[in-house]
Amino acid sequence: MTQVTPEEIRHLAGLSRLKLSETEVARLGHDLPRIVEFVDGLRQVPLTDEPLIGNTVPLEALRADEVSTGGLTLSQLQHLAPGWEDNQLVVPAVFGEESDAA
Amino acid sequence: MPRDRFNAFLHPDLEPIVGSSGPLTGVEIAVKDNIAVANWPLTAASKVLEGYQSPYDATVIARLKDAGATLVGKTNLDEFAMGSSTENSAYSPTKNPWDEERVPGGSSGGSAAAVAADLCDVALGSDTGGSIRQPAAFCGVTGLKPTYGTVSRYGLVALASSLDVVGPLARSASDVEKVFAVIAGRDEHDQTTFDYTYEPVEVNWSELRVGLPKELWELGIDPEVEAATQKFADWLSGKGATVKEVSTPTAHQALNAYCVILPAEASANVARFDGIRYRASIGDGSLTDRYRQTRALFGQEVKRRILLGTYALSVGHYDEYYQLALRVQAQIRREYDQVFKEVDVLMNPTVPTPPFKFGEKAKDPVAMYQSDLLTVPANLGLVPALSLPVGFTDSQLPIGAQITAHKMRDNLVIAIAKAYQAETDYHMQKPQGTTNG
Repeated sequence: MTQVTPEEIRHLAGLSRLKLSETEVARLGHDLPRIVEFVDGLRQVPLTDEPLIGNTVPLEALRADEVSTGGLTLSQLQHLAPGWEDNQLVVPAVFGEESDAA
Repeated sequence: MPRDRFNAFLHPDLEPIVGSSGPLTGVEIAVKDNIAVANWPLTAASKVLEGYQSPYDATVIARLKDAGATLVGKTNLDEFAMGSSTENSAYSPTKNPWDEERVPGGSSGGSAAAVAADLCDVALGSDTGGSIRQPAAFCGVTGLKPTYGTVSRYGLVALASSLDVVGPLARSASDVEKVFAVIAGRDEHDQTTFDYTYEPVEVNWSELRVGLPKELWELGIDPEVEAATQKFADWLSGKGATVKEVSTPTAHQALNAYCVILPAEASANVARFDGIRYRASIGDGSLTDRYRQTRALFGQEVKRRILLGTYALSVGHYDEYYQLALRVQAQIRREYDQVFKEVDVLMNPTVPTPPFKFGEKAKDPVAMYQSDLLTVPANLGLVPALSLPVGFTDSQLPIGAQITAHKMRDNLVIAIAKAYQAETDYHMQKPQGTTNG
């Protein structure tokens, strides 16, 4: 069976910006190898050499001019905002002196 | 909608919204709580979205309002539609109205239970791997997963965008049809939609060819489920259809590919819940700290799928898993192209088993995923599939059969279900203790 070590779980959690408790690390260390083993069944599919099927949407459609249909009204924005002061959104201060190199 | 004993509805204080006059005037419709209704809560059954209200209507909601529907409330689901039992809701599971010790299926379990318990006429669900059809089968109602691209996803909280589709659940295929006809069609807000107008058809029984995909029928189906579904096959044959065994060699491995594609897309889609853009926000340190602490609010299944997606897309695994899964999906789509030259529809059980008990599969994620074994192929193939009630077990648990057709033949699966329901009453039976039950 594929092994996924607690260090790998913590590494994946770091990449995913997830905070996990040690209980969760242990539980995921139990679950993930079983799911990966199930997914490994893919290797038994006898595949033809035909290419992948591309986008169902023609690329030119994605580049077409978009029609502007308006956005939120000020009152809608105010209603959704976590905080509102002097006609400005108030959000958590996240760019402090602390380094954010993670 | 007041709080109900099955916990089918969330947000019990909502006042119904009565649409303008149209073909759905008087029809009471419940909405899965991952679909945006302006000024109503939108939680996707997650603590991460607690307190959030949608500022706009999803396209399907705008169309229902224009057609005169009455929106009665929002229904429970597995968090971010990740699950097959509604046990993953952050707001407690929904109970199956046929047996309150059993799950209603998922992820649209609240929608299916609301219809089964007669709390609404129709409910909207979303289906990424079976999330409309599996709960429809478990609750004894009819549910349609439309052809991908016929119904706009604008305003649907994204799970796996290349597979997600919104569709109706109702007691009868006739009500499913009425709602599908209204919500289907191109939408400028969703570029995967295409020009489509629903046109009903009549079944030409003498020319109808029905395929029983042998690889799916061999997947350890519960004997009572198999017997009821076989009886439905016999009914089709009795109407004059040609019923024969066919082969879709890769369909039984669709779930393996789905278990890669879904987490890969889902992990990217839920990256937006970062503690900044929505109301939930925890932490007083750096941006990363706030990001990580806020996302600790996710439930276990969401975390599991985020990690799986990150694993599948990481260096070293991308070709090994993700590219391989996409090649398997492409092969399934080619097999559908082939088999639908040979037959008009495929038919098999919707779920391998009757509804299971709460907690029965909670500790075994693979066993839980396998409850979608028979529904996932239609999602990877982007084709329409409908589940309809075809019987009950000895202990009065509903059994569903699934009819699948080629792209844009949604009208054919609906027509077959309507014809069956004109001659049977499984879809009209109601659980004890509900209205008329």
